[in-house]
Amino acid sequence: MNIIEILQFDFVQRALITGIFVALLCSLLGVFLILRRMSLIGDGLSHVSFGAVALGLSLGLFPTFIALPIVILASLLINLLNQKTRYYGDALIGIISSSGIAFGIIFASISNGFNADILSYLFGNILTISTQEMLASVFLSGLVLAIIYFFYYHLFALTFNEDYAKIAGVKVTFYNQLIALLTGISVVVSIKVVGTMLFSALLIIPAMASLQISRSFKSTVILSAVIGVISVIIGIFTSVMLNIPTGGTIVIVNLLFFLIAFSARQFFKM
Amino acid sequence: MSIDRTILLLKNIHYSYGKQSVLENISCEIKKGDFVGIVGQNGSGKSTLIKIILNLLQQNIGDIRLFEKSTKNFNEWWRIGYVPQNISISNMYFPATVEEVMSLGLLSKKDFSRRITKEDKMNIKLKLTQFNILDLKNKLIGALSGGQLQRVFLAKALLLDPDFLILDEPASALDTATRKEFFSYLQDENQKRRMTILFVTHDMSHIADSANKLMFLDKKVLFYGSFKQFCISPQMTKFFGKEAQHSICHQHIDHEHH
Repeated sequence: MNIIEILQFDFVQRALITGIFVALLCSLLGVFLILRRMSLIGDGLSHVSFGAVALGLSLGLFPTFIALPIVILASLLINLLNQKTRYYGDALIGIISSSGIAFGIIFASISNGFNADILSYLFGNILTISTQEMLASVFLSGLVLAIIYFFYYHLFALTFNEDYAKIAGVKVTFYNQLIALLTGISVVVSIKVVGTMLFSALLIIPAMASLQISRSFKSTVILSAVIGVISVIIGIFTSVMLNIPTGGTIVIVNLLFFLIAFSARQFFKM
Repeated sequence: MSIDRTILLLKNIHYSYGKQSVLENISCEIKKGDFVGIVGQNGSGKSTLIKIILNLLQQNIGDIRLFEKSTKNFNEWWRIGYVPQNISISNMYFPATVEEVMSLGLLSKKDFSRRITKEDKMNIKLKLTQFNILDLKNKLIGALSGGQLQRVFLAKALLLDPDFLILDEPASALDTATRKEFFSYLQDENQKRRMTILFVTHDMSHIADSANKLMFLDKKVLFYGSFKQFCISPQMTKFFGKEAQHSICHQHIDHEHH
């Protein structure tokens, strides 16, 4: 099958549209999270989303709709705990993260055990995405992208130095909550793309690759988005052609970009 | 004679971290055009005091007025320039260019969505030229030397021509020549524009030539007054010992004669 033939399939078109939006979202957010040393929050929230999805499946409800409020609540909780107990933030995320998985395993075994359904939430299955799911993902991603666009300088200031941001009149508490909230939303829209287990990759790897070779903050943000989007496109086509899991393929393509950027940095001593 | 406006008023500020008291009963008044040096050892509460003034920390007791407004209601942060301590360490690997960092200095005067315009870029360019660092514009801040960073952050703090400049130990990373240049620039701004300056340092010798008022801090205000008053203050004699006080004052007076 060549690329033109693959593009004829409805499910490939839906996968590409959703994948591009979600990748854009995650790779942009990732830059801010990594530079704020908050990248673990994505890992924690994705594990919470696993618990939420399992709950949804065991109750026979649409898992993504259950996951959205639960993950958003968890993201605000992590942010709150982070502010109250500054020094052990990563350990707190660890607690929330493993609790999410623990609940997930229990809910999964109560309902049906680890069947194909739950596996697709664990590792993603973007080729089975429905039109409604695609529209929901595009809408939520679009919303988050608009927020990032309008608040770019606030987020930049906050990421650079919280004290500076505060003095410049940026409402730091609000924006910290906003970042946590946006991360929560991006976890949920990514479930179908790479699954809860691989979400962190979508968030971290494009941004990390970009950080290796960037020459300014703006270029870091843009390059991260470009790497994220290209990885999803290459990942989807490759997985269809080779008949291998799409989520995993997308992550491996991202990883290759990171390795190239990392080597370029070492080689050119950037 | 016109009565100068009060820029900063501190009334009985207390701050404690848990059970440990950091600042006790701090009061002082800074007027327009003052160049105040806050001097104290490490752990004397200098940086804490600055953070309280900037509303980054809240005092337990006491009242602060910035430009005659309570800090809670104060929203004219563009009138204040701030150069923090240890800039280089916390932001070493941050992927931002000098121009991008400078643009953050414009943030407090921008409304919603806060785009950086062509005019803003021109202003940044002008300020960089004024500080003789235009060639650094597109460099990553991680690639700068301590002295260059200091200049960038001072230029950033002065981008909006603030009325009140607060510097937290800015001179410690500078070599002697750069430090002299730095102070002569501050003195210039202080005298020409009557910019009020609050300068924190642990080293008296940095500040004695430039400041018109000194505050000696050790949890409490041990001394607040002019350099001449410092030289005859019995409290300072007690703190430094007669010889040390004499030697500090002597050095300074020698300096004045040269």
